[in-house]
This record gives sequence, structure tokens and C-alpha cells, in this order.
Amino acid sequence: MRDIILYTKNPINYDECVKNILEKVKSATTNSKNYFHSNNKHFWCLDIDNEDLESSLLGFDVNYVEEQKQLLIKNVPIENPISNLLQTHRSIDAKRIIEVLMKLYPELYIEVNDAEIWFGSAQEYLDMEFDY
Amino acid sequence: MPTKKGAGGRQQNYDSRGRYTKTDYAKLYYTPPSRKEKTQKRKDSKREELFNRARNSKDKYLFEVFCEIEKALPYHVQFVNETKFDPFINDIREFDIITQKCIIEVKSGSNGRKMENQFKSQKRYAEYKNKQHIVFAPNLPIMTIINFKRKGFNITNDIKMIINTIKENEL
Repeated sequence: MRDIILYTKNPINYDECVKNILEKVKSATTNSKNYFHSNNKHFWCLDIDNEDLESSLLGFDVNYVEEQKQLLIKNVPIENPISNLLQTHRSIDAKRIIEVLMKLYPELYIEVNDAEIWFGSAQEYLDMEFDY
Repeated sequence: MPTKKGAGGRQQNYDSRGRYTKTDYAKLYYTPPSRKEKTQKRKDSKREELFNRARNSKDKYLFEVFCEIEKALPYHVQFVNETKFDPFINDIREFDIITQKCIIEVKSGSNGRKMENQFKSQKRYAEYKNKQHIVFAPNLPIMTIINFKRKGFNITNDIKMIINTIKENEL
């Protein structure tokens, strides 16, 4: 599955999202804690772990930590962003989730972790067409 | 089918209305498949289904990895892009390739961000099922791979290593 990382200023609140996602995304179900996924043959999943940069880089090499920090400073215009992971096979499923989250978190920023890394705002992601 | 002897002494068939019908030699000489043949046919159709699943998958390297494993160890792959119930999250999770003794995750990303938690939960599930967790990440930089290896994850960018690991565990 493709990894799409969602960056927000504040942690994503599960209780705020659950009603919106379940209403507007037909294929969505949840485990009532912090995990959404699809209930049809095109699997996607959204893991709400609200990880900040420091805790995600614990135990890694100093060079790797520095590299990741520089990458984020250069590409993500949010200070101390909180990250969550959306995994999907199809871009249309990702667009549906991002559309819902964008209304709750307008500063949402996206990183698509593929062979070539892509950074952009949520609106830019919705406007672009990907080959998956 | 009822039969009666015809003029030349040959057996002839006729239907319920009394009309003569041609002898269906295919049915006459039909031998049902043996249990071995039936099992093999079932295996082949499952393999074809997995092949199609891997080929139609939008994951970049999944089909390549599947083909290499099938070439080296035919009929060892059990599932491709299959969802399994994970009791640790009390919900389902998808896994890329599952064999008898291994769970293989294929990652096309070139950045190791947000992978650690994924690998942890997949490894936890693999240990719960007594399987080995392997990650194939051909685009990750070597230093990132080394970092993940130091953390205890079985990660590589070489398919041959994956096949060797599967052989060690399964054969």
C-alpha cells in the first residue's frame, strides 16, 4: 500500500473525526479507538497515532535525525507538525479522506512517500492526478 | 440410460420418448479425476488467483517480489494483499505477502518516516502467528535500512535475501 503522511498543527481528535468520516466516506468503519479502514475490496486504513517529530526519530542515527528535520523544515510549512499515517491503494480513497479532514484541519499538509517523495497542501493533492 | 440390442447386436441407446440417441463415448469412457488431480487443480487455480491479485495490485514492487518467490519456491505463497484480524488493534489489517512461515511487507517509499510503528505492529502480529516478519524496501537509502536493522527489524533491499530467509524458515 502507498504511505500518505498527514501533517497538522494540532493532534487529530478521533471523536471529532469519527462522525464526519463515517458519514461522508461510505466504505469507512472504525475500531472505536484510533483506527479507520475500508470495508470493501479496495483496502485503505487511517492510523491516528498523532506522532510528533521528536518521538518518531527516537533511537535513530544523528545524521538520519538531522536529515529528516531538514526535510520537514524545507517542505512542510508547519512548525512542530503532528503526523498521522494514511495507507491506501487508490488515490481516490485518499482524496475522500483528505477532503473530510481538510474541513476540520484546514492547515493539513500531505507527504506521499513513494519512489519520489511529494509534498503539498491538501488542496494541491486533491487537484493533482496520480497514477494509482 | 436404457439400452437395448439393435439389429447388428450392438448396444443402442434410446431416450424416454423412445427415440434413438447417439452413444456418448466421452461419457461412456469418462474416468473421474483422482484425488491427486483434484488437489493439483485446486492448487493451480489458487495460484492463478494470487498471480492475478499481485499483477493487478497498484503496489510497485509487489508483483516482482511475488514472481521471484514463486519461481524459487512454487506454491509457497498463501495470500497476497490479504486482510487478517489483528487482536492487538481488535480490527483487520492488510498484509502484502503471506507464506506458510513468513509475512513479507513491500515498501516502495524512499523515506523511512512513519515506518517504524507499522513494522512494530506487523512484527507483533507475525510473532503472534509464529511467523517471520520481513520487509523489502528497494528505494530506502542504505543508512535508513541499517538504522531499522539496529532497531531489530528484518529489512532488506535484496530479493535474494528474502528468498533465502523464506527457505531457512520453511524448508
